Amino acid sequence: MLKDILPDFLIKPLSLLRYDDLCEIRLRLNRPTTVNYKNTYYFLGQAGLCNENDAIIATKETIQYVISRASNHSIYAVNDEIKEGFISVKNGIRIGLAGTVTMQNGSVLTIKNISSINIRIPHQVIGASLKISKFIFDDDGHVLNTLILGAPGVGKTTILRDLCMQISKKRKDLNILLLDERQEISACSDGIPQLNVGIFTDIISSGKKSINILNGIRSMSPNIIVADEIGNIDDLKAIEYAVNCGVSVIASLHSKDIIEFQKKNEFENLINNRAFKRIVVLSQTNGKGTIENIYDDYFRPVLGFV
Amino acid sequence: MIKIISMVMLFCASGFLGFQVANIYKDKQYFFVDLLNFTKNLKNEISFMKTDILSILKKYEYKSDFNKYLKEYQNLLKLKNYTKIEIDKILYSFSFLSDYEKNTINQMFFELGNIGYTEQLERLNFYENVYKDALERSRQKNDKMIPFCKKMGFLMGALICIVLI
Repeated sequence: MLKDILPDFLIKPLSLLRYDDLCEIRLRLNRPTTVNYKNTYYFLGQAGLCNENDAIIATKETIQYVISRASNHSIYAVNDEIKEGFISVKNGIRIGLAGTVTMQNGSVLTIKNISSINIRIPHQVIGASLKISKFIFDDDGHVLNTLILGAPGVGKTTILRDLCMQISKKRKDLNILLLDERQEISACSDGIPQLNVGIFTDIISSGKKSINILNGIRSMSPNIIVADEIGNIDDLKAIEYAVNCGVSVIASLHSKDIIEFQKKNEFENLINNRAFKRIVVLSQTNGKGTIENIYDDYFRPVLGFV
Repeated sequence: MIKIISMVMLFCASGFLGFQVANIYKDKQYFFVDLLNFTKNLKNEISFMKTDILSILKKYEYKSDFNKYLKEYQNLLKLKNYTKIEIDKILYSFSFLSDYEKNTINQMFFELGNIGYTEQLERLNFYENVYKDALERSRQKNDKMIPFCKKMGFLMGALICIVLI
């Protein structure tokens, strides 16, 4: 897949690396190319991993090439994604963009002069959520509303993907609605998930989570809604609506730890209503996806979790 | 007898030549009709469906020489690297187009997919107007030139016959 979006001079050194250990490729204008390989950043040169002096320098043409290829030669077609700061590519690869943001009437019109791109490569880790899945069911077998917290890159999306799969495996009576806004969780291509998200999972790709939650509840009558990277007011209102409709919600959120989460004003309602019965905090202490702790709705550590 | 047959053949050949020259003018008109239709379709596909360019190219077929252009452009997009020079090359063989027309068309196809949504639609509106004008000019010219070429073909034939007699 990378060969479809990257020029040959980057593909050659990348082919020397193990794809399963490659997490990120970062191109910064007129600066050395770096890769996140086995959770460590390295410079990328013609002969593979190298020191700074031998690294391939990303030019404006290289960045334009990647964006053009990632958008299928149709930048206009991914304009909505560019506004949000990313482009989704097949197989769940997501390209993050940084450049000059053009605003109109208070909202982002587009990103121009793109100077940095971060190509994130998803990897399915089967069993990544096994430690969590034990704690998200109540005594009656219902799935508890669960929030997964963690800083960027700690494995929240991987855990969500695996949770969908594990729940589908365990329970044949629960329909899951996966809101895959950036197509990172399921890596849907032409409606077919490229990564395993379980057989009882329906996927809504792209679009706004807040709208998709409301539409999804009406049209698919799910038992569980799974959403990645919630945070804006509209998302939270929609989640509140889902919870009030009796639908279980499993979502992830950028937040370093439980204290940082408690300080988030926009979550005040959900916290006061004790909407999330399980709050899982992830870190990279012992590698990606390390579960620091699991809390209940009173922010007490859940008994039994070591 | 041979002389009469030769004269008839020369008359027909000259008339045929007149029709062929007239067809060159027609080719240009048909090219612009298809190019204009394609530009309109492109605008619709981009504004309503945000369809990617390769899917649009696969979707539309045309009868004029413009179809050849589209196919070659499509092949170019499938290559890993292409430059504006390679796009320019596609139109080299289209002798009925002026340099200005070739440059405009090449520029449109070079920009296609390389700029944002709003800018892309603005540029397509601009090109649509350019092609409308070009088509109108081509039609006006054809109204004069096509009958003229046909008449000239037959007149030349008749002239040759008179000279031979």
